[in-house]
Amino acid sequence: MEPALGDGNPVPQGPSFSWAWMIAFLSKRLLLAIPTLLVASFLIFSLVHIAPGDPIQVMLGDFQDPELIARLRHEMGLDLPLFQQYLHWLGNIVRGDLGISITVQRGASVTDLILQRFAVTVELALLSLTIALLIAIPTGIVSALRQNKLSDHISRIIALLGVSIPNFFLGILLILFVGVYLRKPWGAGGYVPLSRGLLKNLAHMFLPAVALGTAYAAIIMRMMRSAMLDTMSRDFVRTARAMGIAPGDIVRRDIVKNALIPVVTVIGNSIGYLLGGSIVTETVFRLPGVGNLVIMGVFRRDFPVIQAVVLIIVVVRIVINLVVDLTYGFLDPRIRYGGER
Amino acid sequence: MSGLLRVEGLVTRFYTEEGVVKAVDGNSFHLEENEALGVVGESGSGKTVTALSIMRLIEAPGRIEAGRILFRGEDLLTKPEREMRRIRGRDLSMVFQDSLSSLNPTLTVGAQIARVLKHHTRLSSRARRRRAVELLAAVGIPEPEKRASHYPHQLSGGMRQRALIAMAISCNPKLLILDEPTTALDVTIEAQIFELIGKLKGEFGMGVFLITHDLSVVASFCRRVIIMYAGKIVEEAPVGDLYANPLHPYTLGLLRSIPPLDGEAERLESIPGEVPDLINLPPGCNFSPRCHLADERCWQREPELLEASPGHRVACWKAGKGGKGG
Repeated sequence: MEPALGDGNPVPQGPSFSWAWMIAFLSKRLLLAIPTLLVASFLIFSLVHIAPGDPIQVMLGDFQDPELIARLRHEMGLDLPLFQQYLHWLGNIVRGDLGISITVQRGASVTDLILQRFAVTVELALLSLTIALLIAIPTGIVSALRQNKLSDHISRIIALLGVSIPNFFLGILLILFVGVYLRKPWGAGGYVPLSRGLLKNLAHMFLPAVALGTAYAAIIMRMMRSAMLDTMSRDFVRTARAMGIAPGDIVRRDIVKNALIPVVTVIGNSIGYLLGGSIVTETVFRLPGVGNLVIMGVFRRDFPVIQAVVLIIVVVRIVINLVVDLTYGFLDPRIRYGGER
Repeated sequence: MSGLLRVEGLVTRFYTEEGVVKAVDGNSFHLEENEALGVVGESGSGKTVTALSIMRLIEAPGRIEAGRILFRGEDLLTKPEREMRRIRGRDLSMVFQDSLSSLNPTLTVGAQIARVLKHHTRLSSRARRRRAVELLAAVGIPEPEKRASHYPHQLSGGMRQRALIAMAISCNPKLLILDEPTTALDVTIEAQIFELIGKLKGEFGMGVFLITHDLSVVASFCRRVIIMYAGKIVEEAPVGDLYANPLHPYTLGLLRSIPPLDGEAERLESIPGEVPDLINLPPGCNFSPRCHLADERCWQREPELLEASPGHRVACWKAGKGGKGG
């Protein structure tokens, strides 16, 4: 047998997934994050200061002593030119200091305020994500496999509702339903930390997570469905059928596996939606999370709190995108070994 | 003579929103064991749809409307899908055109071959793995052990096509359908692939149904050839006969559009006009709008596929009147 000679194209050499490649990839991405964060910090700072409202006014209420106002402004550095304030803020952030709260909890470190609440938001987001994925992926798969049949239509209608109903409204409906009709105290507000028992914690977290996760599930389900339909018409599915592969195996290894690749990107990209949604959800369910903190910050014009929380959200987004890209490489060998070609 | 494959009056149509596409329109042909049959025609002539009909892989909105497909004496069109699944990949196999899109990008080449074996044999998973490597070696892939663990995108086009062939022959099929297996490859690789297929055909004694638009490939590889035009067989002949004595004006046109290897090239001719719309076919002979010989009868009545000499069939009112080479 003649050995197959090259056909003019460079023949790529074997698989060589390497840590070196991954470290190079990560450091490149982290370097790219620096300019992104700079631009974001500038935008956040400008927007917060352009918006009307003054923390001192909020603090003093009707008691308006010009001298006191001037003194407080000076103390907090609010009398400096804006650009100087920005540089000052930026300098502190680089040193790991997110600033001191003005009105939410006067004198408290913003870092502490966020840390106290971070666990709640992370739990809410993860729980919502889990609920969303558990609903969306199977529904999307079934919907695509039974395209234009009754079950497909039903799940598509529910998905449309899920996308259309604002999650605060769904939250209120859920509270009403569970509290008034089922007479259970779930979601009636308050929060029990995970350390006091999983069930007690879930009793308070489940409804908010459902409220937040529903719309997200709907988005993912639609994406999964269309990715499945797209993959089903690809050539390699026909090849598998031509080889007599059983339908279950084709669905699993040809269709679902390849359909997941674009879906993971969408899941990652719309995690920003989860973060935004958590602000509203935490308010509706009175959960002491970061979203709740930023709302208080906005109402009381607490500049350092708003700026810090929004900046943290940007950082989280960047990290999530990085994780998504790594997951993508895990799912798709063409990207995993992409560095070789 | 029952033959390996006997297709009778096959009609396959696609019910699209624009209308009914008559992709394959009442064709009959046969294929003997260990025989290579070439099917030649332009894109849209119904070659691939014929192959997919034999495999029973026509999907909605397409439908096989009529005919019989006798494979080793049994009509595939009456078989339940479960049984078809056992036949596909085992007795009846197919290699597709574009090897990159025809292989699953997220499974290694070895795993894709082993998977076919899993569905058709009782081999253990280790034995399947070993057999996959043997098959890759059999189709001439160097370092088969290593290549088995590669993903399709890591192989060159020629190697991918070989891997696809290895997958198709993994269970020693009786009939191998090749749908333009070398379109995406260089000429040198094309020659290697056909050499390989010829060798495998001899080894396994399988029938080969070769779809191509390249008459020169057919000349060197096949014993008989079918010419298709707009969903219909217009001429069928032993290869030598077809080249020496083409009877259909369309075949003549095809032959004239190949540059001769010997002597001075005359001006290459192309066939004027284009393939008719398969939804609105002309009333008479499908080729009549492009045919320089066509007259009243050609425009109005469809010619039947009739035997002109033993083994040589043609569907043309003017058969042989085009003049050989002139």
